[in-house]
This record gives sequence, C-alpha cells and structure tokens, in this order.
Amino acid sequence: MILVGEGEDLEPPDSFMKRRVSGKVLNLLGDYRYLTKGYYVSLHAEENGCEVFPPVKNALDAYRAPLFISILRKLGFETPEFEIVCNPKPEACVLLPLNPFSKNSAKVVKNSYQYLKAFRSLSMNRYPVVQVKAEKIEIVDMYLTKTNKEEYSFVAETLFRTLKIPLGKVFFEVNGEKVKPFYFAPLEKDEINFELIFEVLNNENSLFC
Amino acid sequence: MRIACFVESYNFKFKQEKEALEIFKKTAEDLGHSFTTLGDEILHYIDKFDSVFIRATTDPLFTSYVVSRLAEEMGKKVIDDSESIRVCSNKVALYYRLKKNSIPIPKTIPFFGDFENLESYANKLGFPLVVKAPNSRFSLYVEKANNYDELVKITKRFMRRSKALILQEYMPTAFDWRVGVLEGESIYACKYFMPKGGWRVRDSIEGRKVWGKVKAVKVENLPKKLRKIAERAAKSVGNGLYGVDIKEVDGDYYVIEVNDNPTIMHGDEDTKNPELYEKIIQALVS
Repeated sequence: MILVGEGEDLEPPDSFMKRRVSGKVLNLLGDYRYLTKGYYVSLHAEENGCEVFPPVKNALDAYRAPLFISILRKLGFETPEFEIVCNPKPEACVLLPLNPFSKNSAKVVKNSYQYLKAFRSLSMNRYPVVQVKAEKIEIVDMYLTKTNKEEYSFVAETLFRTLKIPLGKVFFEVNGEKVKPFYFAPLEKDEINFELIFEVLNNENSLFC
Repeated sequence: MRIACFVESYNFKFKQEKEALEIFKKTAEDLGHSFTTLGDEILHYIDKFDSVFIRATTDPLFTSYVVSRLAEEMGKKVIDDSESIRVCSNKVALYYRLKKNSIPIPKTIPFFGDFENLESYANKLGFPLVVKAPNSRFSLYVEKANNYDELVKITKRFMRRSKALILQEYMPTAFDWRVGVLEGESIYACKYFMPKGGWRVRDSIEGRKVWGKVKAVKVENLPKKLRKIAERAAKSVGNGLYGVDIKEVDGDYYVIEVNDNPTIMHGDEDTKNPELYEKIIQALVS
C-alpha cells in the first residue's frame, strides 16, 4: 500500500506522480476536487492500473450534492429534501454549489437577504444551485471509517467501504434526535488529523480487502 | 424513444451550429423519436426521457457533467458519458490513456510544477514546444514557447490556474485532420486548416481571433492508416462520439487530441457524410 500525502511517513504527491506505480494507493491529500493535486494523484494511480482510494469518479460524485444525496439514498440513509434551482426561491435553507469551484462554499441562510447574496455567489449568474431544506447543521470530519465525533462514524464506515473516499467533511441536518447526511466537502490540509488516520490504519485489518 | 438534448445558449454562437441542431431534431422525428432541447431545467426532467444528448461544453466543472452522471445513474443512454468527459476534458488524463494504449502521439511530457526539471524536459522535446493547460479547448491556453525564457514565463502563468500542464513537441502542419468517430466507427472527417499566419486552428492574428477553414473529406476516402489510428484513439477513451485530431507528418499520423462533444456545424463537418445525423440518433436510441 502506498500512502500519498503531505506529512511524515507519506510519499509526497510530486514524487509519486513522476514514477510508475502499482498495487494499492491511499491518497491522503484530503482535497480531491477536479484539477487539484489530490485529483491528479488518484488519476495517476488509476491510469497506472492501481486500486486507489478515492477513485476519481467517486471523488467527483461525492462533491456534487445531487449525486451524493442520490448515493446516500441508495445506501439507505435518510436525507433532507433538496431541489436544484435555476432561479432564486428564498427560504431558510442550506445553499450548495452544483459544482464545487471553491472550498467551503456551503451557505446556511436564514433570511432573503442572506439567501440572495449566497445564490448570486454560488450560481455565478450561470449555474444552477442546490437548495437543501435544513436549518440546523453539524459538520464532522471523516477519517477513513471514523469521524472526529464518534456518534457519526456509522456514516463514515459505509461511505469509505462503498465510495472508497478516505478523507472529507460530512454535513448533516440535525433535527432533534435525527441526523441526516447531505453533503460532502474536502478537508483542508491543516485540518487533517494524521494521528487519527494512523490509529484507524493500525487498528482495522480489513480496511482494504 | 424520447431524446433530451442538453444545450447552453453560449454554445450556439454560429448559425451553422443551430442549423445542425435543427437537423438532429428533424432526423430524430423522421425516425419516429421525439427530440427536446433543454437548458439547465433538464436537471428536473431527465427521468422523463430515454436518452440524453449533450450539446453543451463538457467539463467535470460544468453542469453538463452533472447532467451526464445523473442520467447514467438513472440508467439512460448518454452521449457524452461521464468517463469520456473526464478523460477528454483533461489533457493529462488523455495523455495517460493514449500512452497506455500505444496510440502514436507527439513526444509529450506531463508537467506537475517541478521547475527543477523543466530544462531537461525542454531538452527532450526541443524548441519550439507547445504548452497546454489540461482543460484547454478551442486552442485557448495552448501556447508555443520558442526558447527557455518563454517556456518558464508560460508555464508559470499557466500553473497559476492548474496543478498540471502538458508539454508537447511542436509539429507544424498546414492542417489537422479531424475524424468523427461514433461507437468505434469513423462517421465523418475534415481538414481543419490553420489560419494564414497562425499555427493553431483558432489563432490570434494581429490581435484578432481567427478560425482556419474547414474542408470536409468523405470518410470512405480517408487513408486506411489514418482511419484506423483515429478509431483506436477513440476506443482508448470509450465507445461514444469523439472528434479525433491528428497531425500528418511525412505519411505518419500523430494523435494530438480526442475531443468528446465534437463540433458539428451544418456546412462543415456534415458536408461529405450527411448521414452522420442519423447514425448519432440511432446510437442514442439503440
């Protein structure tokens, strides 16, 4: 298993991409958005015939809210209602980009003013926007099969085993006792907890079977 | 069958593109199918159709990619499929794919910002060389470096918007072959000429953007070797609709690009093989 990332005991992405690789590759860059270094590491591994975590297709799917929600529903998770909107429909909600051009672009809006401002920014006057019926949200960091908040690890376990995505942030709608996942976003470099990653890697034997 | 065609208005700057779309519609209807053009609202209606034909700029960052993936998730036939978009929209991904399948290409080196090696890469390719941003299209973000200083300036400028670039041997030719390939079979062909004084099909001459002329060639009259290389190159990406760009140098052929969502303009690409419309519609409903 080749571990690629920016940290101790990891192969730096630049040297990884310059050589022929084989076997399994765990990409720990955290941001796998299209055209990022994380994307190219997975692409390089995939085109060299490696089994890579994450595959590029899954990484692209996970960051696109309608596709991610569709995956969650197929996996049996309850998700909040959502709509893809081409024109503003102000209400208290969470607005998400259809395509993740930038990081941290999810916006929780509580009134029309906030809504219209967020809509303009996310649509870039050109793209549809995803509107999720959720007012209270919780964001957790996912490290392979675990999250930084233990009670949310059930989602990480399923997502890692099906989508093969090692790192990210999962957004949940919180409504009383119910928590419903709905969005997946990259982890920033300085947010990555390598201690937790290695703890998971050392304790779980069947992670990559 | 019900065919949805996803379009975005900015893709129809030329009247020949609109005319081609009208021919697609008429051809589909003559064959007993419906053909509905939709903009972003298609995202609400994909399930109402049997197949989706994308005629908008394809890129994993654009709406077209989400349309393609959602349609695939619903089990619809899609042209362009998402894998073709992922590979063809990214010249680094395309390079991997062509190389892996032993398709003849000009000498090419992917560059990931390792400036300490740039000079040795340049020595391998020789000057002038071509620098391409991975998601360049219509010759945008494709520039020629005549010497090392120019190369450093261009790569630094391009690296501001990309983590990877393609460095490629320069092959001057009067035209590029464009072979349209559908499901592994060549269905039309053209010569895309460079405009006078330019080296790219779409070039900037005296500050003006200029397109070169297009001359259609009947597919049946293409050199066998050219046709075979085009079909192999397309196959290395997938089984959809592609426009394969090829340089001819001293009787040898070198693939420079495989484009998904290839331009189809009435009076250009369709001149010698007008049956291309029917073939594409049949592929959508098969």
